[in-house]
Amino acid sequence: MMRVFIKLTGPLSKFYRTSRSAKKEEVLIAEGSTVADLLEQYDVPREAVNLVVVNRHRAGSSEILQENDEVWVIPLAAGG
Amino acid sequence: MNGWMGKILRVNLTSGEIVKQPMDPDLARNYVGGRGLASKILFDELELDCDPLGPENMLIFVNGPLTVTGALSSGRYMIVTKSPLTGTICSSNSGGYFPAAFKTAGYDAIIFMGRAEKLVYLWIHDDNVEIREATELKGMDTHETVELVRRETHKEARVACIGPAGENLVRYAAVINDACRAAARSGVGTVMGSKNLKAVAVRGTKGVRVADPEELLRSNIIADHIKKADLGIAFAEFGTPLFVDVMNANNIMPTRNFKEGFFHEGDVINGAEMIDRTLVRSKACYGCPLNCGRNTRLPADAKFQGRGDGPEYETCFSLGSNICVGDLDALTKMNYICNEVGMDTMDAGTTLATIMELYEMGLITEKKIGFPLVWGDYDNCIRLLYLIARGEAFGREAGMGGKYLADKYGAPEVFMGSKGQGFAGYHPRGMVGQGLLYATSPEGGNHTTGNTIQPEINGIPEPMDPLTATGKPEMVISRQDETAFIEACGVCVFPYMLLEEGTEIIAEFYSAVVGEHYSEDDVRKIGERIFNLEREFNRRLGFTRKNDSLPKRLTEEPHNEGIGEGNVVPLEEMLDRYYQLRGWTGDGVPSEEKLKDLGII
Amino acid sequence: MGKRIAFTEQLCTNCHLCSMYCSLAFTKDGIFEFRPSIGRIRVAENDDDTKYVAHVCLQCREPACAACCPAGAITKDPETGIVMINDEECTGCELCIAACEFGCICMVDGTAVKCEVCDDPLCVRACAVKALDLVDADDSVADQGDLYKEVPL
Repeated sequence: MMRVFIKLTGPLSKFYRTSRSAKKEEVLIAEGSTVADLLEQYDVPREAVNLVVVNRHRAGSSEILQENDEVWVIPLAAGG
Repeated sequence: MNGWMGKILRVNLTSGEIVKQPMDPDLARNYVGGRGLASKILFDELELDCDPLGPENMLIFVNGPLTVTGALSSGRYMIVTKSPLTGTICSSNSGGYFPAAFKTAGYDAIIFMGRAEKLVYLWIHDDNVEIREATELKGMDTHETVELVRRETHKEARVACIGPAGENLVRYAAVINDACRAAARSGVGTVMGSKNLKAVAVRGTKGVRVADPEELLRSNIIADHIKKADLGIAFAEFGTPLFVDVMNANNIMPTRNFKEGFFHEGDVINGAEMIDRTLVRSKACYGCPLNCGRNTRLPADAKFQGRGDGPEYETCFSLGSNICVGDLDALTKMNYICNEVGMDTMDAGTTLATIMELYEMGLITEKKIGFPLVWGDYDNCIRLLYLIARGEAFGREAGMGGKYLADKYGAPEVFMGSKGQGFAGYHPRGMVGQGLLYATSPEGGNHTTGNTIQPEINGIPEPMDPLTATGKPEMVISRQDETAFIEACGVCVFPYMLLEEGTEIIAEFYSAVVGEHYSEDDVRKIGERIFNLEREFNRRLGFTRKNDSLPKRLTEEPHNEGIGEGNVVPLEEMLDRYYQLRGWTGDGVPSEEKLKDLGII
Repeated sequence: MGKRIAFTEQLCTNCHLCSMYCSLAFTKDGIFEFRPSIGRIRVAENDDDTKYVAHVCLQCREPACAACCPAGAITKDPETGIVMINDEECTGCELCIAACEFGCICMVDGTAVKCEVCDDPLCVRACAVKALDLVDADDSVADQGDLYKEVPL
């Protein structure tokens, strides 16, 4: 097992296990897990996700995660 | 007339003369309303080289044929004038409830000319229009002004006014309506102040005719569609501040005067933090089902006190990340201050960021400012904001804006703006199309003339690489033209910008209101006409390619770590292609052929 | 059993779409017009901007408006429970407006008007946050009434 951190933005914060106000959560996943595995573990539907950023870099769903990676999940959104 | 009220109000503040003019149907057909109608009036009537703060300048408040018609988000107005900040034609947009009021009072536009001898306000109650003395309102903030004017006119009057910043001619003064909404950019509040016009109060009870209401009821279905989509849920729940996270994750949240695109304290100034700490409830503008507005208040344990609306995303950038303020209470307080004194949060922020960098470089001293101003020092920022609004001490100079200060103190390259107006909260090194947009916007660093966020970052309608020039000139032209049309209609750009079929939808609504079929191509052509007219206006004032510029920080200094690391904005190559596609010369001048084809000359 | 329009304040966003669309329902002579000032549902804000309240007739059990009308133009339909104003009998005296402590009656072109519960109310359709609902007239109006008095038009 290894430890990574997940940041769920905006409406995706409903998938946090601790609280919607968490800002970031520490989670244990199997060594060699991918971004897709982590999202599946959190039940985050793929269509809701616009972008995943791992340690500040764009990541595909098959990217393999490492210990202490910060995984930031962004929904579709706009502003002004 | 369907859509339009058919009347333009002309108020000569010098003579006190008030005239009601019928709307010219040809003008309506070719330029519609809003920014289109008003820009055309300025083009035809304004002494081009007039002093923007002189009596010859015209200040136009204008709604559109779709305002108060049930078309999606149909409650907006624009203020159009010659800008004292940029020297160009400019238009500033606002929502709230005031736009609906002057539409239902019976006017498509209100044109202010001249200058009142003493401070005055205008009171409109349907057909009854009066100029009234406002000497007791002098120096009052925008909240107090609304209260007092309502007491003297009608308790439900909707009021647009300036605060001390506008009265003291701060070059980025705003016109604040309904106490918390702002037509903020380009110094429209400064022009209002230069005319000694403190406020416009309106009560309207008339009706707006439409040809096909069934089609307009469809707005609700579309609204439902937006609201059920993740996009819409996010918008209603978090408001525009949701965007802090999106921008930060994409490494395009301008930080430290655009040196970087990532702000470490983004988590404490975003929409989620607002929900936890300051949000009272969501709020909608008149006629809008998306309720993205933030009704907020500072909690009892906060270092500062106050209540109001916001901050919106742009303010989270300009008075947050870009000046390294990672504190929601301070950011919220600065937002409230700007609303109360009547100042653009964006250029106030750009000015502060410029000062901070000049201070860091040792070009502006503590002695000069009266106190230090380091990155993130919100206490001193607050002090300075008040000094700026009052035109006191260093505040007097700071009220001239970031470009003025950067030039004066010997580092013009640190002003992060174009044509003298600060950029919006999207870092062009990470989304280069937005850089092209900023450079070619009629009033400089403004993003509202064609925000490229949907195509470049959200991949709607198709994924684009935000870092390269590919497809950007075409996309920016398309965004600019469709936005010009939307802004001519008197509606909010948001839903039309968010939806892939946005332009098709507004063409349908426009057709349903006016009772004539307009296709997507038809409305784009009108938008193209408006955009080119504004370009030609500026061209006649000497604005060409040399003014379509971006600072070297964006075009030469590589982007920081994260997405887009090392990237710069390939402006010149995009400009070449952009001008070509627009039918302009290589120097950015609209060709005679193009202007004739669009009916501008 | 009769119906009335119920309003849930916590959901309201102050958008006024209800007023806009209500006015459309009263379009005359084939002209379609949005004229929110004549809507039978109208929204008020309180002083510190913390409450938005849409005023729409509660179809009172013992309507004060009917009781005070000198022309007898206001009656409560025994079957539907809806309180109706006969515009031909209305003399425009405005006593009903003063009598209604909830601010639900207004004058339009010299006649008093109020919500008379459309079969398919446009206000309910137009509200994007479902703050309005068609409910049985029997449903308690106490909270809604108190709200109207707290945040008058």
